[in-house]
This record gives sequence, C-alpha cells and structure tokens, in this order.
Amino acid sequence: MSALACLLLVAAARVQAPEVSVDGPNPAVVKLGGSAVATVSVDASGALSGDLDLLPPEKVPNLLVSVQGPTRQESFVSVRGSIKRTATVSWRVVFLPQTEGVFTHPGLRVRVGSDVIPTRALRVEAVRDVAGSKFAFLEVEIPRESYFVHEPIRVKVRVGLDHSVTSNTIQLQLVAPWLDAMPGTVPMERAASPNSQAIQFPVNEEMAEAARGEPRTRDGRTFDTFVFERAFLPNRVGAIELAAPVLRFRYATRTRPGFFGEREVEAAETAFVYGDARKLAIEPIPEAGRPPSFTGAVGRFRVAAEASPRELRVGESLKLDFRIEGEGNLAFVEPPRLDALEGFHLFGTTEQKTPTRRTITYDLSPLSEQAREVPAIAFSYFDTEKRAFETARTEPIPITVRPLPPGAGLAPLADAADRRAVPGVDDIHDMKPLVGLPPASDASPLDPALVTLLLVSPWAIAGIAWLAVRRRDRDRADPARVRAREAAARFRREIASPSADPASAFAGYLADRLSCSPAAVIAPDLEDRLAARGLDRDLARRAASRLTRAIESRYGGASSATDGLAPLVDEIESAFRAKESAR
Amino acid sequence: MMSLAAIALLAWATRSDVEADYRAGNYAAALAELRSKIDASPDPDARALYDAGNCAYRLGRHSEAAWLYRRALLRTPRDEETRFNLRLAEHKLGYEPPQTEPLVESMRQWLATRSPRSMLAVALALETAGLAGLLAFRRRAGPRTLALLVLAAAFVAGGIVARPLVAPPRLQAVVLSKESRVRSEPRDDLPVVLTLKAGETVAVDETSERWARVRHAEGRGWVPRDDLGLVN
Repeated sequence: MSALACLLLVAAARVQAPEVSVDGPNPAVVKLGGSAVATVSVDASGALSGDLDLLPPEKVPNLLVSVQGPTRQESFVSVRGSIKRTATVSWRVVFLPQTEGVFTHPGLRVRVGSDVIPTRALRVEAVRDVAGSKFAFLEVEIPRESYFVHEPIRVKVRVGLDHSVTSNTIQLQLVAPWLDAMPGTVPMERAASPNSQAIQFPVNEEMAEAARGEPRTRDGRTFDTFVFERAFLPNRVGAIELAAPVLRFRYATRTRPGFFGEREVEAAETAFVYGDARKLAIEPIPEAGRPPSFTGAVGRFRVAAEASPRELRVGESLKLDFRIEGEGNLAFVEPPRLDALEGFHLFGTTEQKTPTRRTITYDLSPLSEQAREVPAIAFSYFDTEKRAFETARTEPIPITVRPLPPGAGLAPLADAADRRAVPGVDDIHDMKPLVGLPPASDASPLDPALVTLLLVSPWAIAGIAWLAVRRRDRDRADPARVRAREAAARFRREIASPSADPASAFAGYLADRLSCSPAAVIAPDLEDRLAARGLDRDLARRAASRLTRAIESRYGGASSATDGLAPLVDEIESAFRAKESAR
Repeated sequence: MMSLAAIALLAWATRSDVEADYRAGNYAAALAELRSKIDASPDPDARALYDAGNCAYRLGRHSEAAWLYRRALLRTPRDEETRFNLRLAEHKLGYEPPQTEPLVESMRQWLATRSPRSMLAVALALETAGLAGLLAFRRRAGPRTLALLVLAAAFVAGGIVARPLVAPPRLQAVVLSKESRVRSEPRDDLPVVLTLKAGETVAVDETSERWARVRHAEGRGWVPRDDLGLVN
C-alpha cells in the first residue's frame, strides 16, 4: 500500500515538473566589448521543494559567461474566490565575447530536486565596432617584446578621445583583465600621477587615475589623450600573452538645455575601440658569469656612497649612505650586507626608499685607528641592455680615525661578549691546512652485489654449520645408527688388511647392521633376521649362506673365502640404504 | 706522472690564493674563486666546499654557507668541524637542532659519521657473532636471546647499509633565497601554501627548468628552482 502511495507521489512530481524558459541572449549580435544577456526563468508555482539551482555554465573558448541571481517573484491572484499563487525563479546570464566571431553555448542546466533540465543552445555573435575608432583610439605601449625575468615591464596605456566627444562622454571604461593581474608577474608599486589634470575612469572593475597627455591630431581631428601607467615584475620564464584591450565609451549624440540651464542628454550611443593584443617573451637570467655578490638586481644601476663624519675616534659611529639609483627592480633588490666589513663593526642599517632610489644608511664604527678608509662597496646586477652581469663599485672613502685617549678602552659591543670568539664554541672552524680533511674515499658508494654477497655469506656458512651440528647431535643420540651407517666402511677396512678374517669381517658387518654382537650373528635364524630388517628373502638367504661358507673356510671346509664377499656387502648395503631412505 | 704533479701544483697554487684572500678578510674574492672551481666540477671536493662555506659564513650569507657545508658533509661525513660549522650557520639562521635523548643523539651522531664501508663491517661482525652465538648456545636460553639481539642489531646495520642501495637517497636542497613561497602547483598565480625561510632543508621530489617540487615537515608543493641549492 505504501509502495503504491510512493509511486503516486513520484508520478505527481513528474507531472508537476516545472517549465524552464530562456529569453535571449539579447542582443544576439553584440559589439566586441559589449555583452548580451539571457534570462532563464523557472515556473516555481507547483509543489516544488524550493531546491532550485542553475548549474555552473559550461565553458566556451573566448566567451565569458557569468550568472547573476537567482531572483524570486511571487504573486497571489484571486480566481473565483480562491487564492492562486504563482512563483518564478530567474537568473540573468551575461555573455561577454572576448574575440570576434559566433559563439554557441551548449545550453544552461537547471537543477530541480534530483532532476536536471537543460535549456536550448544559446548563440551570440560578436562583431568589431567600426564606428568607435572615429571618435577614440587606444594604444598600449610596451617598449620591448622580450624581457628578462625580474626585469620590470612598464606598460603605458594611452586613451585618445575626439575633442568634440570628450565633453559629451557619459561613461568610459577600459577592459583589459591583464592590467589588474598580468599572468606570470607581480604588480609593482604605482608611481603617483604626473600631473594635476588627472581624470578617473574604471579600468576593469576599479577606478584608476589617468594623467592628461599632449593632444594628438589624427586625420585632421584633435584628440585629447589620457595616459596611465602600470609596471609588472615577471617572475617566471616563458611567454605572456596579453589580450587586446577594449575601451567602452558612451557619449551623448543629442542634448537639450535642462531646467537649470544644464545640458540634459536626449540621445546617447555606446561605442567601442580596440587596442592590439601583445605577446611578450620572458627570458631567464643566465647562470654563466653570475657574480657571488649578485642578489637579484636586474636593470641598470648606479651606486654612490657618502660617509660622515670623516674624522672620528675609534669606537665612534659614522653613517655611511649607500645609494642605488637606476631603472630596474629596485624595490626588490637586497642591498649589500656589511656585517663582515673588515675593521668595522656594523651597528645596524636604516633605509629610505623611493621608486627610483634606495638609500641604505649603515651605522659603522671603526675598530682601530688602522682604518684609513671605508672600502669600496660592490653591487652586482644583471644589465639587461648589455645582457651581462655588471658590478658597480663605490669609491673608497678616506677617513681619519684617531686613537682612544690613553687609558681609555672600547666598551664591549652590544652583541659581543668581552672575549674573542672561539672556533668550535661560538665561531666556525677556519680554513684547514691541506692535510686537514679526512679522505673522502670511504664515503664512496658500495657495489650492491658485493654487499649482498657479504651479507648473505654468514647465513650460508651458518646454515652449513647448523646441518653439521644437527647431524652430530642425532648421531650422539643414536649410536646404533652410526654403527649401521659406518658398517660397510669398517668391513672394507678390515677386509683390506693382509691378515683379514673374511668370516669375522662379514660377521662384524652383519652385527653392525643388526645391532648385535658378532657372535650373535652366527645363528640358524640369520636369514629370518635379515629379512625382518628389510632385505629381500633371496638376498638374506645368500648372505646367511655366505657367512656359513666363510666360517667353514676358517676351519678348512671351503676355499676362496673373500671371493664375492665385497660385492655381496655392497648389495646388502644398497638394499639397507634404499630401505632407510624410503623410511 | 708529470701531469699529476702539475695538477697538484696548480691546486696548491689556487688554494694558497684563496687562503691568502681568506686570511686577508677578502671573503668575497675567495668565495668567487672557490665557487668558480666548485661550479666547474661535476664532483667538487669537500675541501673546496668547506672553504666556500666558511667564506659564505664570514660574508653573513648563512643559508649559502649551510648549503655548502651540507654538500661537504656528503663527501666527508666524519668531519666534525664541518658538522660544527653547519650547526653554527643554522643557528645563525635561527634553527636549532631538535632536543633528543642523549643516548638517541649519540647514536644518531655515531650513525651519521659512519661511512658505508664501516657500517658494512659492523653489520658483518654483528651478523657473524649473532649466528655463531645462536649455533653455540642453541640450548641455553639466556645466551641464545643475547645472540638473537645481536642478530637483530645486525639486521638494523645491514638495513642501514642496504637502504641507499635499494632506495637511493632523496634529493635534498637548502633554501638560499631570503624566503621561498611554496605553491600547490608550479604556477605563480596560485596562492602560497607555505613559506620557507632561508637555510631550511627540504626534500626534493622532482625538478623542472623553473620549479622544484619539495617536501617539508609542514607541507609540500612547488617552489621556484632558483630559490634552492641542491645538496646531492
């Protein structure tokens, strides 16, 4: 019953699936730089759970798609005395083509509960606005096509507006996303606007200040120009592609005097003008010839130093101003470190920074009157024009250091105790004599095969030794087994002797095998006992008969006592061994 | 023979120039001379690396000094002076070795200063002693346990010897720049997941022309290749 109710509910939900409609995109043909808008609406009047969503739109190359919303509209209408509720949920979808051409979006998808309802495909065409270039121009100035990594890229954007249009311009916007975040670079600090006649207009989504430039004449028309600059520091090697910027401006085409005498816009038009796309190559700074004092300065720099006072006593402080000026990544440069300047102690540094100059002030103190000058300070940088590393040096600055008055001494430095640094305690061990370092050969890698062999061989030896020990232990535990095992050998030893008694040797062999005394072997039941020990009946009979004959020969009853005895023992031994191994 | 003597003489002459510069406090010149020698050689010797580390230390470039000392230690793991200088350079950078139990620390020190050959000898000696003890005292529980412990120690020593042969040691690097930003992917526009400071040691999983994928106790990611100095 409940299953039936569920089915009915599902069926009802299917029946009440909402309608999804799309209006637009409007306009279907847009000027490049402009946008088209489509509205997606869902009738939410039915028994919806409210779980409505527009899924993220699929990406189409060179077409930016953004979604705004949702917006809910609800109304109640009285129909024949009953109140009817209607509800609509809608989204605004903005299409912004990045290049000329026809763009077809595969359609948007609305999620209603667990269902996804697709819309129809949406088509937008983008064409260049040819009219805009009559009233404006847009130039992007980047001095070069190729830069080194960490070399500043200075971009100058110049906007030109027809003088007659300037005063009628209502809106102005520059769209170039890379001006906010150029890929592969970090933005550098912006310099202040160079003149007071700056204007402000949006660059992408933020207001930016542009300086008024010199008017330009093009095709007999005068253009007011506005310039703003950006600088970027590339931090990776490769190519940077900058899309063509677009200037969007709206100007009044017809005005009328307003109530207070001001001009009111009666008709206006939106136009677009385009700059050129650019491609920059970022090269790496070469490794070859890189000086040890290079700390990442890229550009062209000059250095200078001044010291004051030039006359001082030992232990007194002098200020050394070290200036770095020039074009380059000045803000990112690490200044030279003078911690280890010989004959001086560095108390500290302070710094003043402007976009074109850095002044580092070192607080130095001569440690003895032997100091005659502040040595030249080297500053290495990569010269992008010469494409080579350069080292600029300051001139040595002569100073006069007077000794301390008799009896006076230097106060201990703040960061040093009144004792000398001791190598191995609070100072490094210095350079060593030529025999100082231990030989490095013992750190060389080992041959894996040799290591394996060496590590495995003790185990192999131990295994063999263990087998031997195990055998010895078993022998100790079972002497009869040892006796039986060694019976054949003992027989051969005895039979090989010149004074051998074959009967005794053979009886001894059989006694060893039967674990009894030799005298107990000689008995009528020998055949049965041998057979009971595993010999086949025939061999047992032959052995018993051969022993009888051997004994008889001892007393002169038979001849050729040893003939065939050894092969017989071998045969018996083989039979015993076969039986033992089978066991 | 003559050419060997000439090479030795040249090395001695270079060394005396460097030493003269160093003794005169001209550390930058000494370092430049040593770095040119180190960079030109596919397998620079420990002495040059040690001396270059000293020059870098005297110049206050402690991260570079740490990097050079680490490279020297790979070649002369038993050299206590290099080890001390490395510790001092790291101390200057603000890194202190973690406090461990004295026994563990002395064990670690002992292991760190063993060459592969001496470790192999130790492993073989322990292995032989353990196996012999096991055979000789197989029926006596006390000595047998001792022999098993010796054998276990032999396994550990053998493992230490065999490990670099089975799995070659991971590339290590020292951060040379003032700070290095670690990103989740090799792209500058991605957010920074971790910032490494100068002198920190990281394991390097792979490198490309511009980037290196590194592993650090606090995370992993990609840093610009130029920020690092590879140790091995």
